[in-house]
Amino acid sequence: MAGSYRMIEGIVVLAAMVAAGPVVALLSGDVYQLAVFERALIYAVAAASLNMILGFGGMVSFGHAVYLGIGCYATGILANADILPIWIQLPVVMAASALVALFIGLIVLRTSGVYFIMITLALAQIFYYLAVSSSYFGGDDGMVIYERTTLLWGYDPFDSWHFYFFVAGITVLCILLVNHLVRSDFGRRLVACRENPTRATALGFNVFAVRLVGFVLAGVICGIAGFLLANQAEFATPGYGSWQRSGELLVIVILGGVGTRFGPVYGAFAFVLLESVLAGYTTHWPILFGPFLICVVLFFHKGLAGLVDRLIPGRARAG
Amino acid sequence: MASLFAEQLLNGIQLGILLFLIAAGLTLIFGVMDFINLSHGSLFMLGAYFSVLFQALTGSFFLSVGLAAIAVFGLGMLLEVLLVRNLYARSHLDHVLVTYGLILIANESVILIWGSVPIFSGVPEALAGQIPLPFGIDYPAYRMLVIAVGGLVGLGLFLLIQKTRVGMLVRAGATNRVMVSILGVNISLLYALVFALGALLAGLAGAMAGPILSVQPGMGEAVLILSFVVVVIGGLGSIRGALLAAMIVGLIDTMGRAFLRDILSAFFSPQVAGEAGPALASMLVYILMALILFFRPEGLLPLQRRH
Amino acid sequence: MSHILKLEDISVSFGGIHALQGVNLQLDHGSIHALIGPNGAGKTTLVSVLSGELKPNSGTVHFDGRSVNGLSTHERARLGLTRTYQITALFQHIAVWENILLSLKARDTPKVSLMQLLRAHAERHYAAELAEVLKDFGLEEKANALPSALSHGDRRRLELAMAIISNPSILLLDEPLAGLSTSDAAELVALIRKRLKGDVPILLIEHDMDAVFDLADEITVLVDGRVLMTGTPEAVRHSAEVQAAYLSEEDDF
Repeated sequence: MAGSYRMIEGIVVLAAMVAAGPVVALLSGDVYQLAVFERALIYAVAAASLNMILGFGGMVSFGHAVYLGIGCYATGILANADILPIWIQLPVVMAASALVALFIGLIVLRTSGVYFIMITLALAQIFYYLAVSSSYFGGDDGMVIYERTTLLWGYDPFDSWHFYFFVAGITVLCILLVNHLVRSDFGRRLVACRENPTRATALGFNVFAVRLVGFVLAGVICGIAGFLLANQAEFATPGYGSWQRSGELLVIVILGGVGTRFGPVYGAFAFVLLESVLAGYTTHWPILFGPFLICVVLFFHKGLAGLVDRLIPGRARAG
Repeated sequence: MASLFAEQLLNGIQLGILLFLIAAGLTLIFGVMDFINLSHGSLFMLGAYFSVLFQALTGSFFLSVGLAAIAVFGLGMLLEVLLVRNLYARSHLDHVLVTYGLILIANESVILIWGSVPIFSGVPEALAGQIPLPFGIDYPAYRMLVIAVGGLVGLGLFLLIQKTRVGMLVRAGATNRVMVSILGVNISLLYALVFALGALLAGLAGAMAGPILSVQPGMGEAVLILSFVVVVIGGLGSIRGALLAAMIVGLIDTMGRAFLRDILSAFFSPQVAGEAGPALASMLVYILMALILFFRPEGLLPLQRRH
Repeated sequence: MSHILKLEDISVSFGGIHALQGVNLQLDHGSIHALIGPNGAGKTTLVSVLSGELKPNSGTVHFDGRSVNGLSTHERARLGLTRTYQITALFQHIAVWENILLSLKARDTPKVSLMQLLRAHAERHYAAELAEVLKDFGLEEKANALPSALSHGDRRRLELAMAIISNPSILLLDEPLAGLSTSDAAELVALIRKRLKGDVPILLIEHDMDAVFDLADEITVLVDGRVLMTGTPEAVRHSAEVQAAYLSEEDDF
């Protein structure tokens, strides 16, 4: 019973997530609207990976956007060297993000609490400044990416519809992967290490190893989001890995609902759509978004996912 | 060469002093209330803007710096009473998000009022020149004043915390929160005062930094992150740690930017040195932080916490 | 010798305060060894040294004939050195049955592996054993509750269950009966006896003297971080030294 309910809920959310862009594009007759939804999908992937370590592992990473940047630059560098097939680009992106996450994880997982928040921030800054000062890759100005990733014959990466479904397909796979991981045997151990590291250790779990595996997996999935972002924006800039971007990812996760299955999807869509709508009215949209954010924290503790649960009859608590 | 070195040394100390003023507030607020305040950098920025505003109104630089610091003190008090005190019981994550929201509001308000173009608030004429120091070194008078004033304020802060009753409560609060509440102190007033004092220090630092940096939206964030590095390296909640770390960070950052390229060019080709020097210089502080935390996860001078 | 656990000259000090000084202790197969002493004598410190949560300043912990000084807590746990906590240490925000399941999984596959990433929750495999544990420890009706919603006695039972089902080769029980009524304590003692068949040795720290003298084969008395004496319950009961140092302050003795 509960299982089939979960499955139906999952299908509905994912279908709505994929269909939203095309519906708006067709109704408005403006195919460029798809780009907004592509950004929402990409943010959903990045936020889902952060939610995995934040919501289930209890690790508040304030430098998660660094993997967005790594994925983006890795893709851009390969593309500009004319290496375009996805089966080369994606493994390289994943390996690069895994290495960086391993390096960062080995240092930050020795600390906890506020130290963890701050040191993830500081280590992300190292990579940010690396990008800023690498004049070979455009430095502060960023790097134009001239070619998009190729997939199969018949797939045209510069066709708006083809590209949209390419992004949507990978997004769906990533969200399903994250949801599988948190429900897996490993995910249960991750939660145990968050709930009571002392007891988890006493049971024989290597808390450091469990957290490190989670941390690296999250980095890799966020790297994939960076791969999509490079294709979508056709541009790589240090800004993608900046601490403001990391802050935005945290905002999206909280907005959607920490530790919920589809919170990151709700959060990403709310964030990106709100941003593009507000930006349409005023260039000073942050002055509206700031108070909105504060209200969310003060009054909607469980984020949008909590709100959705309250709207569905008979579902008082998120599963 | 020697005079260049001495000048950069003084620049490093001057940056260290400014960082200490900001970090002292951050670390106090964290130590006593267990609150992470990302918007502390915005208070720094507002100090700079208020000073510019008051200069236009009063015409006096020194009066403006004082007024700006007092204005930020009031703003900090208001912020604590209206918003921040509701968050002490919440998680650090909530602190981060709410204060992130405050940064957005502060930056955007500043853009709305003053525009996004940097404002250069000049050095007051009396201090525009250089002053001669021993060993034939000349140093800008204004920067020397910043060092002196910052040093005095830092000393005052130490006396306040070590010698007064309020300071005793602050120290007690940082090491043992439960005890202070048992003493029957008006906790909410103490918290508001500590928050506002932190704001005052940040505002003062901003007002003094105005003529050295360019006054622009977002100027608080760069300083904020450096201050966090200072607080973490020093040990959360520890004022002495913040002072030590501020000096280390100020000196290393300044020296790295000034000399790293030359040092590297002694070993590598000019191209490599020209490329890697500035890159390494901007990363130096963060690498230092990573190293220190790897070997001493609690920071250099951690508080002995008793629960 | 068949000492499965041997402590040799263990000393621990915290900033000048000597919590343990030159403690020697041996635990044999199949025995229940009780550790008693006034508050602050260093009993919990000793358990933490055994489990590896605390590094001794000097001395060696031998387990099954070899030193485990270099092993971390989780490595010792994998050898079967299992402890409970004085203040119950449960996974607070997940259900009772999941707490137990985690303990079963820790017993079978403590290390992180690729399989754990691929496999969804493998509850079915453990269904029968899970049901049995819940029944034995009287937690059947509370299987879906969160530990925070349990009564004190139920929490103690869950704490004990998680330790006992992990198939320990040594069980370190840190005040398992604290705060329980006499009848609850007796029930829990019976449960320990029932579940722990064979010769699993137990190191028991307990304030309930009736339980200690009822259960223990051997008793070590710890006072101010030193071993005052080790002997049979009879010997300890009649030692004038022990009475002077410790038992005099216990009214109910």
